[in-house]
Amino acid sequence: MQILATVQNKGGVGKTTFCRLLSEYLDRQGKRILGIDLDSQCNFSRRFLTMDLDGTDPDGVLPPIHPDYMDQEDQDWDGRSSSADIYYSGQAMPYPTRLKGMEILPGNGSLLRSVELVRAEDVKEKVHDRLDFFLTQDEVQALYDVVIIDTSPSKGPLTISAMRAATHIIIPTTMEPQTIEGLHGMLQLWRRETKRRRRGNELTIIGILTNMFRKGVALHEGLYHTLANDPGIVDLLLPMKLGQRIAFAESDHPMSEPKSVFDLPEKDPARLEAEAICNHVAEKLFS
Amino acid sequence: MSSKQKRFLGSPLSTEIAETIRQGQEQAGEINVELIPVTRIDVDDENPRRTGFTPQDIDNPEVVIGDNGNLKQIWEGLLSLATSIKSVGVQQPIKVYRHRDRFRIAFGERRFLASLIAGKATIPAWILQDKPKYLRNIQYIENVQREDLTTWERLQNVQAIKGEYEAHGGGEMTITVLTEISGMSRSRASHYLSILNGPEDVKELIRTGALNNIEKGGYLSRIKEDYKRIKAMELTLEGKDLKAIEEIIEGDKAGKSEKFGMAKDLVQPIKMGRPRTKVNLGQTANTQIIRHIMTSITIEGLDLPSNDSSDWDNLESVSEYWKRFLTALEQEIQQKG
Repeated sequence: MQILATVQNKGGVGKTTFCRLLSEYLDRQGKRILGIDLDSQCNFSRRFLTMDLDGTDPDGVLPPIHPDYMDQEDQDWDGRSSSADIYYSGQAMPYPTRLKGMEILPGNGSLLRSVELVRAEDVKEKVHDRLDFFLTQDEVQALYDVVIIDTSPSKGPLTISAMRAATHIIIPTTMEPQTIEGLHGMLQLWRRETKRRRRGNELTIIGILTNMFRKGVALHEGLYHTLANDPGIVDLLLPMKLGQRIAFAESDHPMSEPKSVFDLPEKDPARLEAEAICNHVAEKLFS
Repeated sequence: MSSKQKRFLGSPLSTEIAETIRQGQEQAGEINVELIPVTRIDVDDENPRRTGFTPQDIDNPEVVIGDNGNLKQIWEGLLSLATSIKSVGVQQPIKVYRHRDRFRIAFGERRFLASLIAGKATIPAWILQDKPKYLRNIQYIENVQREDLTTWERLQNVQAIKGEYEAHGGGEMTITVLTEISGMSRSRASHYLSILNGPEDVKELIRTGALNNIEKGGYLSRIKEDYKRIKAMELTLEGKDLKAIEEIIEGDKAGKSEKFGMAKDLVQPIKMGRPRTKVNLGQTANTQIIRHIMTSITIEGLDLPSNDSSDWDNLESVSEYWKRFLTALEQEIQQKG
């Protein structure tokens, strides 16, 4: 089972968009996918589930009642399950999605935020290692071919736990100074994590994914040129980019038709870019 | 336009990014050592190199040790290791692999148990991501490098490798395969396999520590005829070297057995185990023998059936009379003595 964490501590650079695209793409390839949303904003969850508003938390959402929940029989369960449960009870109940091969463990805003509040001396055992323990269980390993983890824009404990559990990471990046700083932050985290791995089992960087790229914008072109011409970086820079296209945002809208960019006309540039990236990532994951 | 574009070239961070990438690639796996709480570690029951102790035994080692000299020696080794761990800590990290939400020991059970004895809360460990595939082989290869292993422990390692190989459909373990897997020499592999496939009495000598030489063990195990092997084992226990033993036994091949007093009926099997505390009076189905002994010794107060009683034909009742007879005789001798 491959585990891909999408990480970048600058927000709004396309982590969730990429997770969603890759989920749809791999579903069409017949892969069995588990999506895990570790971002308390729960945007990845909302792409696949209709989340409930959390009455106790002004900016929070909750997973909906699980379709398998029977309130007569399940006395000890309130019917909701989220990625935060992995850190609290070690057990979680993924939700089916509209994609045949994909299940998701949605976020729970307030619970995920409180996971990050554990005391420093407990953080390793209670957060850093927990997702890894969960995903290395035989039952989980047997159910899925790939796990796609969306993380919050931070270098906090949940992101570290995602890196610890991951076999691969990908770092979406826009060609803007703040994002490049975020990229560096993630690479530092990766360096720390891979250093502690067994040789032969390093944390593989699939690459730096250039997102929202606008041709002709001097800043984008200039920074990309710099990274692409640095022999120490170019190998990690994915050879293809995702442009800034409204089609990616449109497909997030509930009224959008088609539901997926992969259902756009074959020659549609958004579809072509998404296919090129996802195909490349799939090859790296399963080669 | 081109001058404007150039303003954005050369982000100062790119040097740092490249450096971070380089370091990450170079240092991968470098510090895969963590301090793990000892409470989250289990011993691996399948490890042929088990000390025989578990964390639960630490407070009551005597229960495990009993009168087993090997275990006593291992326990004393653990105590002395614990003393050194108390003063300088565990110098060489142990290796563990994940098992559900706990860790199992791949290598380093002694260091782990000694840390418990020393009262340590954590132990440095390399965390292997998976259970090593040929765990026993690796454990074996680790173990042959150690000098403090008993021959019996080494033999058990090879037994485990053999078992694992055969269980995975490798067919019967051969000298060639064992040589390839373990890296030991062909002759050594041959001795190990001879012992493992050989008679129990040689294994018993090794288990009790009476025989500590694999070469001798292999030689003894290859002697097919029991009486010759038993003689050779006796010679071994007398401390004869292999060449001398071979000369004597090979000499026997040439029909010189009489010279060495090796009429096979006379050679008694060597008894292993606890020292004798009693004489076994043997068994017989002929009750007349018993009657003969019992009636020829007069013991006061012991009533025996008359000579023509049918009790003398009944094994049950004769056994019962025999028991009483022995007890009464013991008492009488004690009183007189």
